[in-house]
Amino acid sequence: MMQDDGQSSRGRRDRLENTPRLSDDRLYQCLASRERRRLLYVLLVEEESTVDHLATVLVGWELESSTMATQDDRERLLVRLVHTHLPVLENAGFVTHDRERDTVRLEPIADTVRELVSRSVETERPST
Amino acid sequence: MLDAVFEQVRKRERHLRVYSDSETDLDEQFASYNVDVATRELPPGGPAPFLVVEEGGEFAGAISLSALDGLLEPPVVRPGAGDELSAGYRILFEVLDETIFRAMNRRQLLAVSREIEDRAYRTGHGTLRVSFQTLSTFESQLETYRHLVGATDLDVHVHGVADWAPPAVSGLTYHAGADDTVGRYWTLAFDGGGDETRTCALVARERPDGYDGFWTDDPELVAEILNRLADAQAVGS
Repeated sequence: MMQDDGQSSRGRRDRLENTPRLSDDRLYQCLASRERRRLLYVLLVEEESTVDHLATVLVGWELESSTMATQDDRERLLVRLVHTHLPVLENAGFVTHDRERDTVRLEPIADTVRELVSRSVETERPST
Repeated sequence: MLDAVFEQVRKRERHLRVYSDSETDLDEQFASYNVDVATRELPPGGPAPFLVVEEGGEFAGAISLSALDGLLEPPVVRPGAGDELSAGYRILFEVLDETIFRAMNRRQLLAVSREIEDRAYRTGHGTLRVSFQTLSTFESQLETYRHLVGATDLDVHVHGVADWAPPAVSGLTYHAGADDTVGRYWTLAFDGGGDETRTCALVARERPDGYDGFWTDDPELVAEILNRLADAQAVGS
């Protein structure tokens, strides 16, 4: 289902092997941030998304029960996204950030990693 | 005269976008307000549903749906004073302070008008400007207004196309409009007697199928409507 134009299944397998595995330290660096875990969680479902949309969803996720998030809140999140989270995830081979279209696409990732991301986000639920 | 303010209200580029993993009834709740409501699906297990307020295509604020409930359902609790509010609240309140309507008939219009007159009556002072298209339409309401100015210190100005010679009543000032657009608008605006929580206005425009228009509590907008009515008087009388 995730076929790339012009690339053989060999190319896809290579890319899959280049993404973090459970034994990879980069994986834990990626998952060390709650915002990055949430980012990955959204991408697990949507596969591809705009940076704008991701920033809005993350702002919404941070909402306290009775406050209105401001333009500044979102601006700060956008900066963290573009200058920290996306480069970290991109270095680890989790995502590709198309800077021209400002979209983020999830790379093929191993099921074990997929499950780890889901669980890490789902276990934060009771507190919200 | 009022065309500009009418278009200004209609064309405000404000959008509400609901982010939710399930259906909500927010577009119904906002049906009578001058705002577009769109929905964007969230992944299950993601954030609790929230609302994003946009103006001119830009993000202006985000608020959880549970917090929004507190702003929509009585007892309505609004945070802070005007100047300290962030853009998201400001826009949301502007939206909530304006109710739009379409194809309203004369009887419904009168009922809404009574609400503004009643608010002015209970306040007891301040300026109320009304325009029922023609002065002859005012004829049937003369007794109501005679009572209104008799029982209060209100300064009441009646505008309209001059097709009837109204009797002089203390506290009532007539302004016969020559301007053609006066005849299309059914308008009431009350300045709250200095109290911004009591300002209100109704602006309705006659259409082939009834009246279209809006009701607003927004002090700035009410002030603008009052000014435009007063200006028209300067030109038209």
